[in-house]
Amino acid sequence: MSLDYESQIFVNAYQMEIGREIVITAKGRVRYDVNLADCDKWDEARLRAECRQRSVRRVRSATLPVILHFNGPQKQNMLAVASQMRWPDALDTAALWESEMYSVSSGARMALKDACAPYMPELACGGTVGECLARSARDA
Amino acid sequence: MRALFLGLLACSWVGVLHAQLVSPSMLHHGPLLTQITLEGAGGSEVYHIYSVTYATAWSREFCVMAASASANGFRLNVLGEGRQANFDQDRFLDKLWALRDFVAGVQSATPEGMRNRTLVLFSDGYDVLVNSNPKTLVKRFVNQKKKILFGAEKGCSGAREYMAFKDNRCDPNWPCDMYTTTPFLNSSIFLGFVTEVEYLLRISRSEYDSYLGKLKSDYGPIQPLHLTPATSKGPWDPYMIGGDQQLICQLFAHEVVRGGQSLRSAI
Repeated sequence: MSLDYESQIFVNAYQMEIGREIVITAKGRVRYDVNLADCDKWDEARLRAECRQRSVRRVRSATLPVILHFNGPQKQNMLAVASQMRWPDALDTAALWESEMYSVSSGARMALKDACAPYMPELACGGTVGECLARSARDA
Repeated sequence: MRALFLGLLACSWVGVLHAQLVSPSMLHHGPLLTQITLEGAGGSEVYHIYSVTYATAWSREFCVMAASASANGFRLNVLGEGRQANFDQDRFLDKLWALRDFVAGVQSATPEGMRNRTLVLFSDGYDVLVNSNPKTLVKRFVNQKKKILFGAEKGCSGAREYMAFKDNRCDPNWPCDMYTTTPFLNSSIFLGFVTEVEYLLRISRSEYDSYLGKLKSDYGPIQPLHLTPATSKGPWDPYMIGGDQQLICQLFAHEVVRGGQSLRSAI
């Protein structure tokens, strides 16, 4: 049991501001601009050095993590990032909303378009999901 | 007219064949999995991924998460529908209890020989975006050679002994063997092999029951959450306060469970 320290798969945005400490590009690449002073919390010089080395590596090399988690106050940035990320084009979007999920409690499968019916005008507006989110943010 | 008739005949045969091969229960019941084949030097290996999330209601954020998962090729299983009462009672711990039942079912339905290639991916339901595909996920996980992998984060974890008295200071004994800007565990996103995930969830329940029992015997009854240290001496249920995050962090950092090894090393 371990942690994904290098963010190869997961990114948690908690206490790291999106757009400043965590930069997410339109192609979904994630780059860290972490404050290296954080490493000063380690008492031993060796540990401080290792922390800085890791931070530098993370700043230099952007990763393409599989899951982005906008926890804590960063929740408010989730839809903004979703509106900028790469989504299938409008034709594929129609098929996307036909795809099914499985509700474990009821034992039933349901199409996303049915589960998400109240939000379909906003999320399936004729463009990609990202375009629709951007449009509804503009109109709000 | 003749062409139309032949067309209808053909359709009816296809319908009969379809009905024989795929029963209604296969079409409408059972968890969804994603199958991934990895090509390696030793040939190809098939992995199964069960992607699971927890949501008691479908919100805009949930729908965006679900759409991002589907767009990338994940098939989603949702825990939580109809569990609002469980959530109200157990708060975030209900994620673990519901997931434990689901994973136990998956494990028992998975043939022995397939269990070391069957993965469970869990993520929260309302504040997550899926950004890449299942094949990338499996490749990277397999390369890391871990049994269970959690997300790392910058925010520190508390300690149950402090949290039981509503003191949320950072755990002074957190295992800082990796010197990184994100040394702490976040339990809202993780991936692991079904056997190990089932084991982790099972001992989560044991830790919960045994520590609550110890608190009661050492300090008296568990106090209602609305009371404060100003009005009560405690103890409070640290896992009800800190949720799944507190419980999983405790197991990651402290519990010794197998032959003198910490759980962290054991699985």
